[in-house]
Amino acid sequence: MNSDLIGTIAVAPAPAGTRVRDRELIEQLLASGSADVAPHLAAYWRQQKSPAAAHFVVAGFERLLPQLQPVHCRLAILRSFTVEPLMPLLRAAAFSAGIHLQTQVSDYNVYVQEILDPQSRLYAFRPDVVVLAVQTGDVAPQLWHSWSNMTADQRAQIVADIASRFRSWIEAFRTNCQADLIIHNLQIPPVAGRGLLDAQSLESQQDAIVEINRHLRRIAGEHSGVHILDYDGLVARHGRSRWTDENKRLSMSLPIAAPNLIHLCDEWMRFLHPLTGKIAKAIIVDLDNTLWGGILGEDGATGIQIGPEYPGSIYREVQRALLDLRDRGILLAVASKNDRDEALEVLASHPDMVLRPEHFAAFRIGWQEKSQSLREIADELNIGVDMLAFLDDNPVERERIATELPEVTVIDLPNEAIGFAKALRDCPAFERLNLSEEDLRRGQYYADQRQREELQRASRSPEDFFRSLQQVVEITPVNASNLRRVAQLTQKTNQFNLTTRRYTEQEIGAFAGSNDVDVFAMRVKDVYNDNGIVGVAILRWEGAVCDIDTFLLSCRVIGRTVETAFLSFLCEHARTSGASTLKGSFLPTRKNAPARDFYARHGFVLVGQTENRLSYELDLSAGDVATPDWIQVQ
Amino acid sequence: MTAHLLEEVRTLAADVLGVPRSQVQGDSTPEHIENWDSIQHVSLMIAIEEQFGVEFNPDEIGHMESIGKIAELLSGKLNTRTD
Repeated sequence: MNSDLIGTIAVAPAPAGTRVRDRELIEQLLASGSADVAPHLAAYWRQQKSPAAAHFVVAGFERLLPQLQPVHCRLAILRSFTVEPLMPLLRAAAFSAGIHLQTQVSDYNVYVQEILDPQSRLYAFRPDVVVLAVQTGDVAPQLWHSWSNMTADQRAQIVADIASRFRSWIEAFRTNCQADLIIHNLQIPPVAGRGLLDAQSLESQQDAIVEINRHLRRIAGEHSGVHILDYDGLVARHGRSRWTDENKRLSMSLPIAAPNLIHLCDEWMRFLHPLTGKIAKAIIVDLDNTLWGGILGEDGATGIQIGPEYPGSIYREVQRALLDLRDRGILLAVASKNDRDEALEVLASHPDMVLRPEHFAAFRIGWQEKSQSLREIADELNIGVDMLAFLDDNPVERERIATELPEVTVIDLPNEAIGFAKALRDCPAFERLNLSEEDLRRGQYYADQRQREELQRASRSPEDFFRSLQQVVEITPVNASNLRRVAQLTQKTNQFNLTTRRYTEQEIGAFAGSNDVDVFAMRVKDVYNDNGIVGVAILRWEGAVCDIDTFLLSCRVIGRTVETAFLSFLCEHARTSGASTLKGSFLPTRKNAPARDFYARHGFVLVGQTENRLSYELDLSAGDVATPDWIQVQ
Repeated sequence: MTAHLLEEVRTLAADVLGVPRSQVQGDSTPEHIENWDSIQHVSLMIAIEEQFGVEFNPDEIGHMESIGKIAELLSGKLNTRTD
């Protein structure tokens, strides 16, 4: 055997020169105990994404844990097959995304008992998220192995039976647990039992599984917090014949070939990002060689590449992917080193652009540093810098942003622009598990907001401006039509949020049914449009004391005095419901400074102060909060 | 001849099994390493397959009784593949 040859082969799967160096560098940094190594570990993971790297990355993050502030998530997996080799991959991916996963894997094929028994190990674990990963062959062996000459009636019976089993599991789960539930749908077998005959039949094996999957979508839609993972689609995307390694399937109950484990891991991460709030609300894009090919300043408006012909078609795909994100409620903005007038002119009038100026919520086109542009855009859009994603073909710019603003989601791009659109579409920070009306109209809101700001500049005083807005505030108890939005606001609002308590739809639903809790939603309309539900308050009652558990305002309406109208309503509601004292707290976070003086400036008395909490009270027999006269309350 | 490969397998096994590299020697077996149970064995196989771009069948996996044996089998596999 030629040992040189082996050395070469051994390092062949990954270009290993850099790999070893990176790892040595990371080990040195880890030994020094510096938290700055976290971004290096995350970058190392994204570059490697292998089982070997996973263990190293997880061990590294675990050492850093005391210095990090990850989101915590308890994930339980109910399964009918071996998932253990996946768990290090998943934990490494989650750590790299700022999520600390604690996991529980059920025993094989005990998922029914685990779901039905309220005392089960599953529920004792108190999961935030549960994955039900069951194989077609385990839950529906008739559909996997022995599909022969079944009659149409028998087939319909099997489909109905399996769908109703899933339904009863989901219902039992929801009775016992408020966690989000992710259900793998059923995979179509790679080879039909009847061979060619299956494709000739109107009662095909494939149809039966497709039909069950349709049932699953319907059942999931009837419950909040139940989501379908398209496992069949995942297998198909990566190739049905390549998905499984028969050796592992038959000897270890591991139906996924080693190189495909990462794909299931990635798919789970696409759910965990929105479930843990690790999302981007806006994407900041570069122009030259990103939105179009070439450099505007050198090639001119007629020389840049954009359009139906290659290579312009590459950039059209990038623009289409961005437009899809915008239609999902993600804001687009530009940060480019370019001549502003020239760039805007091209966006407005080049015949082949998919994206036009009205699709963007903010522009920073000039010669300043991009990190500065990103900070300004975050300010202008009223969102945290950690809610930004960054798309730039230039690896140096990406590296700078990753270093200077590590909280930004920097999208890793391949060297060739042809891969840009896919990288955008694959980025899990843009995933959402549901879309509200507000999401769909968000782009428009920000266009209107620009107009409002122009009006504000034209107004003589703040009162003039508030009056000119003609705001109408509508406050209602939470109900079926606004429940989803109310929960979403508790999960996403960071700035004007007094206590930053996160609630799921299920929890808000439980409050709505309770006598000790009141949940109110505030809608704000103005001269420009209906802003939708932009405020939430939750009151908890203990005798004659009413405590404001949650008070928050969407950043869309900060600084427009509607919070005073909302608080005034709460005082009135508390008083007429028999309260003598209204209590409120401010729990400081890194982001909610804008809400810090909220109670103080409305006449509440500070009655307690610790590092983590300011406690306030208002004696309802002595004090009151008046609604500003420029706001009409309905 | 397979010294280089053995070193790589040791590093990988130490990572996967979560023990210091010094505890993983050529003659180490599941008896010596507490974390090395049947589930971790699967994870170790997967990690090796991914790292070296090979696949093991169940009979081969059954013969992987020590770190040295793993390196030996892997070396044979890599050698066959390039013939």
